[in-house]
Amino acid sequence: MSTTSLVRIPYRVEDERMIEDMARWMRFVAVVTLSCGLFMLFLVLFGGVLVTLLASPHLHHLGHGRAIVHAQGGVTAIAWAAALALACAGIYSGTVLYRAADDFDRMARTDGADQELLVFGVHWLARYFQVFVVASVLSVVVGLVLVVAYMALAAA
Amino acid sequence: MTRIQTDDIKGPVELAQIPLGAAELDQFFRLARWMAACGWINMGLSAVELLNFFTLHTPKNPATIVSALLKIAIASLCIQGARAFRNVAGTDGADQRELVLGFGKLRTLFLLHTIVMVVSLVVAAAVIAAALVLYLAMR
Repeated sequence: MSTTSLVRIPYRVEDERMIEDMARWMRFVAVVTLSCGLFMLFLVLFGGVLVTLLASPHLHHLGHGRAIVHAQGGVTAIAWAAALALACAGIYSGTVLYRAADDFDRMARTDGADQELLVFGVHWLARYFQVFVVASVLSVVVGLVLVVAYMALAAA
Repeated sequence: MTRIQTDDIKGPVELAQIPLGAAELDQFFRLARWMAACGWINMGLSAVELLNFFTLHTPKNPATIVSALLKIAIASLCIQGARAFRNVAGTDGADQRELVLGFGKLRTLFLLHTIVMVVSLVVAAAVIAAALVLYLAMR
């Protein structure tokens, strides 16, 4: 933190309105991202339970489904782990984006700690973009791995 | 920490320099770096989509073009916003103007995100509703 901090950054009225507007859209995106992350987490956990049941040796009557899980066990595990990681990334990025929006909104609406709120908002926003980039790279890598794995399985 | 009062500043005055410390400057540089990375990733993905659309001999889906154009728009907003935030930390002379410019790009970026999300949710709801109606009609 700097040893000096501006109590108020003299934004024009229209700039303050624009920042409030930005915070509103950021909050909306954050809430939708968080909800999608939670829904995906539910689906991933449900899918994990289903796959575990299919792999169980006690469930002979599931025949075909069991055969698929056994044949593609490694690939299924990679896809499941990646989906779990992406669901967690969605929940985390939604949370940090909401915090950033909250800080920017308070910076625009109040006077008293404008610079501190600006720096906090920038910190959370940087974290949001960082998670987004890491999740995007992970998606691409896992997607490529899955394509190669399925092609290898199909060839076998 | 010394708190600088700026209540005496009236009218359309812009700060040439915001007194940011080393750690605070680092936060701005970090934001600029990750925003720019996000922009370049979107640019790369849009290039792959366009390449697939024009080179693969599969049925052409116009949604691919829309998706690629959206990614280009998001990429350019991210890169421009990153440049503005880098200028806040890296240069002195128009810190507040650059900051507001960066916020403007972020506002457009998240507005675009909101529109895409709303359209996606509406389309998903319509598809689920249509599937339900078809299922009930077939029973």
